Amino acid sequence: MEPIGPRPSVADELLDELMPEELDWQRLVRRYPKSALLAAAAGGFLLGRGRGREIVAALAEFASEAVSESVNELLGRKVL
Amino acid sequence: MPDNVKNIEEGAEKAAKKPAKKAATEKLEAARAKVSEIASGVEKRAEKVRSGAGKAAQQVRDGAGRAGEAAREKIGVARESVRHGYDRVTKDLDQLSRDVTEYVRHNPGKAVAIAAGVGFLIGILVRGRRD
Repeated sequence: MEPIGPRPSVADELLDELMPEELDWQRLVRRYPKSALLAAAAGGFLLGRGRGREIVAALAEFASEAVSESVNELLGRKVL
Repeated sequence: MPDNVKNIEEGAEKAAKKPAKKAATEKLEAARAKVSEIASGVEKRAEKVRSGAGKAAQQVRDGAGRAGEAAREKIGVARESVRHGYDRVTKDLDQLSRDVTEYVRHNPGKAVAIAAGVGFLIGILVRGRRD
């Protein structure tokens, strides 16, 4: 039987994937909420400043491919 | 010249000088009276000026006192208003901090993702502005 509790969000699942398994990041964030937010914002800032454009371009390409694939699948032939 | 003639001449000279001396004395007295009158007038005017200056100084002191009192009152009101605003802002910030902490504890993943996203956007903007 599954434990009763709030359903994990997409962000929770994504962070579970990204973080090492032995690190209980949710416990850390609940215990030090402000520091965790600050660290996340700082990490995001550094990432955005260093590789922001490349990441945005990669995400845009990924999204474009996903949309094309969905449209082609929906129409049953290769349109895009 | 014989002595008696000389005495007669001197007597005549003295007799001639007497009315002139009297007239000069009278004129001198008149001049003294005039000077005294003028001095008295000057003294009265000086007294008036002193009195006027004293009144003006008193009025200035009163005005300054009233202005100081009004300024103190306004400063007090402004200080109270600033203190009230500061208290309110502090209270609001405390409340906001509590709300954020509560939200992060209930939604750790979303909160971290939002913070990282905001930081990421700011990083892109900063880099874009520098390039």
